[in-house]
Amino acid sequence: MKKLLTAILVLTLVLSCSVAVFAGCQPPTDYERTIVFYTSQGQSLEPITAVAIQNFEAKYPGWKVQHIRAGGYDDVKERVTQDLGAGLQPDLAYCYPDHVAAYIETGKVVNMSKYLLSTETVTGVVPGTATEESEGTPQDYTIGFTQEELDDFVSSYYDEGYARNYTGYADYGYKEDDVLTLPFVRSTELMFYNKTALDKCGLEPAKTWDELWEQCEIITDRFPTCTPLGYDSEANWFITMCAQNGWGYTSADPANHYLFNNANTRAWLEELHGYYEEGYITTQEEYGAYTSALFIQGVDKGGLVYCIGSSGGASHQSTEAFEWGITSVPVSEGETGNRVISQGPSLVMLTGGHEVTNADEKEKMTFLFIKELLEPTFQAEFSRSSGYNPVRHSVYDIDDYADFLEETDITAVAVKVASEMEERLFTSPAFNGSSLARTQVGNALLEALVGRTDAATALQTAYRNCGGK
Amino acid sequence: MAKKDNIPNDEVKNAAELDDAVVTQDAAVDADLPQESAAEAKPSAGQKIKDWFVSLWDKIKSAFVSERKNEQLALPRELVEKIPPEMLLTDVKLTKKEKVVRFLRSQSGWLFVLPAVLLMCIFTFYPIINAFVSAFKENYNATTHRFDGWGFENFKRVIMSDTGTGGASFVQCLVNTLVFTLVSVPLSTLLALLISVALNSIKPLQKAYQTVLFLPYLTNSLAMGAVFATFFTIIGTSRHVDTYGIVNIMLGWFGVEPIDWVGIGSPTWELGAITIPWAKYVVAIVYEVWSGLPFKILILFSALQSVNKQYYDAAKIDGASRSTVLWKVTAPLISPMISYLLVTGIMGGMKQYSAIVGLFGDQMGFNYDMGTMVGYIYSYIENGKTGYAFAGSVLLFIVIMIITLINTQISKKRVTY
Amino acid sequence: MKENKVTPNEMKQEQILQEKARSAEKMHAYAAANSDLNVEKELKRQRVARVIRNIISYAFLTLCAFFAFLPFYWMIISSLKTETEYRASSPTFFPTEFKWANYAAVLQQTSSSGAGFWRMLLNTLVVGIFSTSLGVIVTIVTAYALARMKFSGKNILFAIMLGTMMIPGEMFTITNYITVADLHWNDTYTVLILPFLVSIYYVYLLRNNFMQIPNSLYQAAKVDGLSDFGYLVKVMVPLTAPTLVSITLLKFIGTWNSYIWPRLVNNEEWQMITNWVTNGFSDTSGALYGGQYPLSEPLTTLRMAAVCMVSLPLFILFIFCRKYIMHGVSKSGTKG
Repeated sequence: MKKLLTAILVLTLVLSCSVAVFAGCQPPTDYERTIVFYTSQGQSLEPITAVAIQNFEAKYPGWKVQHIRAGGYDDVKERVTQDLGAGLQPDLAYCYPDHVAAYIETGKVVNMSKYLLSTETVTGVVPGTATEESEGTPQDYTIGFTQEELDDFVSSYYDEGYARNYTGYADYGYKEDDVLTLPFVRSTELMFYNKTALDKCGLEPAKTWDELWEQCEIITDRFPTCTPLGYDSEANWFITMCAQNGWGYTSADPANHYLFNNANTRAWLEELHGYYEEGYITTQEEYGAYTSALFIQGVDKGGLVYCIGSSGGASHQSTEAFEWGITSVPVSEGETGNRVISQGPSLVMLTGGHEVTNADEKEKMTFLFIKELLEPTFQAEFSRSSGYNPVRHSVYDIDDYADFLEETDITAVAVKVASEMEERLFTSPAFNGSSLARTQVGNALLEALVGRTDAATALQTAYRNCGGK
Repeated sequence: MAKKDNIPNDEVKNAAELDDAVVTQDAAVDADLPQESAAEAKPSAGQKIKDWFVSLWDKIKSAFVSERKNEQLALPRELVEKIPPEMLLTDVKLTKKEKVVRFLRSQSGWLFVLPAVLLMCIFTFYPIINAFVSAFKENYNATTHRFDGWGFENFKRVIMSDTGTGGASFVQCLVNTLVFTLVSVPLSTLLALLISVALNSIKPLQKAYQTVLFLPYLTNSLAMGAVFATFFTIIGTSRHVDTYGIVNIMLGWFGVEPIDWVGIGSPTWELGAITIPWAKYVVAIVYEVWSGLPFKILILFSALQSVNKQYYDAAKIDGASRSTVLWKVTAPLISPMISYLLVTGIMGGMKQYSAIVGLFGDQMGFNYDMGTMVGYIYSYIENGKTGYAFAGSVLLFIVIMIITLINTQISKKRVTY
Repeated sequence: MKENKVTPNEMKQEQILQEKARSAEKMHAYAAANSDLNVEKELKRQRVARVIRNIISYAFLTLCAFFAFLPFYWMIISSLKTETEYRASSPTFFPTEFKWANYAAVLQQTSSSGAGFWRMLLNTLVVGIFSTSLGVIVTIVTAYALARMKFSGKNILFAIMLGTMMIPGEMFTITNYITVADLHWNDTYTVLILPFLVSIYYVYLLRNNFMQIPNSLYQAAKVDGLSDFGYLVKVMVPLTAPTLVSITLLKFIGTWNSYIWPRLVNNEEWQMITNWVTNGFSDTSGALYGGQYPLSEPLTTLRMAAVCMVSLPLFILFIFCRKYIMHGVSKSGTKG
């Protein structure tokens, strides 16, 4: 009996000791002075972001930024959602509109309007003056932007952040002109083409969809094993076509969110299936990998002539096997016929994570960190490394950046072509479930394209899966 | 073995029988239950209800309190104190204090299970209770902790697949999960048994084979899912194929036409409302068997190693054939381990999720046509519809419980300790 | 402790054996009496049968081993290929050029917070050792109490424990995340050790094992004045050594390969080795392919190299444990 008791005692002791030791062996993160920032950046972009973090920490000694790479965009959303449930939300996170549509219900999304033009100052130091011995030369920093700086933002990007874009914003205490997110970087879709192959066929890059379909026959006659067109993202294709032709994809109206199941889209999918049967088209799912991999193989090895993909992924299309070119996605007829999709992460602020007592002060400091991220020099640096476009006009005036845009490197060309599309960009309404519609139309396109079912059934299935009757 | 022992000790025998019967709560209760006489005078309805409550109370009581025989036996006091309480068949006249001490001593088992029970209370029981309660909260959202009211609405919608959160259908996911589990678990257990027996019968190279067969368990499942996916994926367009994947290449050696195992063109059977993507099923089951084998071989092989050689010698002298030895001697001897593998394998198989995602991507095939029950539940968690997720888990729990009950009822007859 | 009592069960076995022996004697007598039964021929037939059986055994095992090894082999050769060769349209079964630099490149990659391979390896070792040793101890005492001891509510407790195995673990995550947040356990080792310390799968396995040990041993031990704990340590544990080693191994492998929970509750500095693998690797310095693959592009060959490296310690551990799994029982002698 004694032995038994001793054993149990020892066991309990070991357990509790290990808990104590591991809980106490390192000072826990001081969340009152640490800004937590979730991104979906890959390992390679982390050093770039670290520059902005260093700039921030040099200006405000004692403040830290914890950069957490949470995985992909969906992972960031899942993580933030779970964190909001546990009260551990980050102060700042990458976001897409549908993420914010989910976060907004918690009331933890910070209305940035109060800081945008705030003239309030925070005392920091002149960067580089703070050392071990001295506290550094004090300097005041304004929290907000000047009106001039705000006007510097590309307006179509900036407008995405208004509360009115989110269904039910008023129920959660926001006004329609409140700014909930600020754009960080942007990308759009571009058409990469194999210039060598087009020259051999005596063709110019197609400007419209009709032109493109006409060219397909000529191309396949000349290069029998090649596939003329690869569109990487099925969902983007569907959404872009809806935007170009005014067919209706989704609406912000809660009573009737899903508009994509209509006669126009049906007819278009049927048309696409015909082209697929001819062997003109492939997509990422149909091919089995990113179509950029097929593009760089060259037409003689079964490669693509046209490949439509994200401007942010331009480096994947890089090859020396043939001469390539970049142009905009083909257009449709009509007023809105030249629309191209706008993508890329925005920044959303969340308040009150980790039960901090200085939530207001933290919000201000977080906004100052956002300013570092949106600083033109940093934006230029980030754009060069990632291939995404900056969100402020003045970035293009920086000499180094202008030089970069003149380079013949595929990333530089893609950024340059994409920057010319500012007026043509569109976004879709965001609501809780908008990402579902996206997935479903992508599936419908794929299903109808390869002929797994007819277009009507595919669209009907997608509509039902979104919750429609 | 204990069941067949003829130990002249009622108490121990009773315990042994109990041991055999455990696994389900009902079975445990039954074992202690006195048989009720069938021939009884027709009682009134009120009497019936009263009897029912009395017998229910007896059942509950008997589950907690083991009755002691009330025989009187004169034993010297100092001897009684030395005999541990479990061994004592008779109640010696005891003082109240001694009775309390005796009771506390008889409960010393709780001390042994205390660490486990404490941890489970925090990290297992509490979440389960939380999930069961939340399953009845309509439109519950774990991010905002808001809900609209109480009721069965979540269950109704989950079963009808009427939740508007994507392509996952409850029935499809249930069918998928059942097929994967009921095919892959028995198949891999049988294969593991054959491999273990073969492994046990050889001498040279035994270690080498054992090591190689255990390899799949050592690697990260995520990476292995990716490797498997490349084995089966065809990359190419209708005009040009980059690669058919290794499996198709190997099947090509035997003249089999390439099959699109995991892509959009994967062949299916239509069975009423559900679609059976059989080629994808094959991939999933091959992966399940492959990844489940090492663990099962490890367990069965260590069980075989501990079987007394005498039994084999006896069977050999008897002139029994190899297969007879396997099914009539070996299998029963390691039956507790086989039962363990089947029970836990089915429980694990019904909870399958990450392997399918590794093979078929986040959408679990095309629009969840390879969805599993947990995948179905997970799709709600991702959409913030936690109420549906919890309701789905309760339903999954019920399904697993039914299968486990059937499983234990069957194996109870065949398992010998 | 040597067993010197014969249980009725073993007595029965003894009888069976004797009977068998008697019938064998009869058979031999019969064979001797009937001279047309050629003993030599019969023995030869048996020898041939044994050889055929062996051939079948080996062929079967070789086939299984081949399929078990194939994905593993693929992983190893992929880790040694160049990315270009890995992506070639027709897969090669053997690398044309061994790219050992893949391994060096993988080791060099650290995040800006400094959490690289070594930090995560340390985390994993600390968590692995603590959670395995504590977990196995808890499993042993729990399984013992459930298998041998008697206390009120035991059966109900066991039934409930088994019941928890029927609930998907994903269900626990949401609530447990909130619990550990309330306990302020984020970014510690505790949060990786305690929540998964008790595994009912292993408790159940060990309980089944304990129950196979004859009751008579327990009676004998009790008469000898051995306490429950003494009996557990001196009799039960040595007798079930192979299973215990298996459980230790499996538990350690489980910890080693965990990544979803660590990624959720801890930041990079406190994550596990598998998180490091799933992070993705690219040609950061451009040293491998001179900028052919951009920074943002994860390379599969590097990831395979990382997986191989992470699997190696487990392989060594298995080789070490194998000895005990295979010979543990034959030494301890008694078995029911």
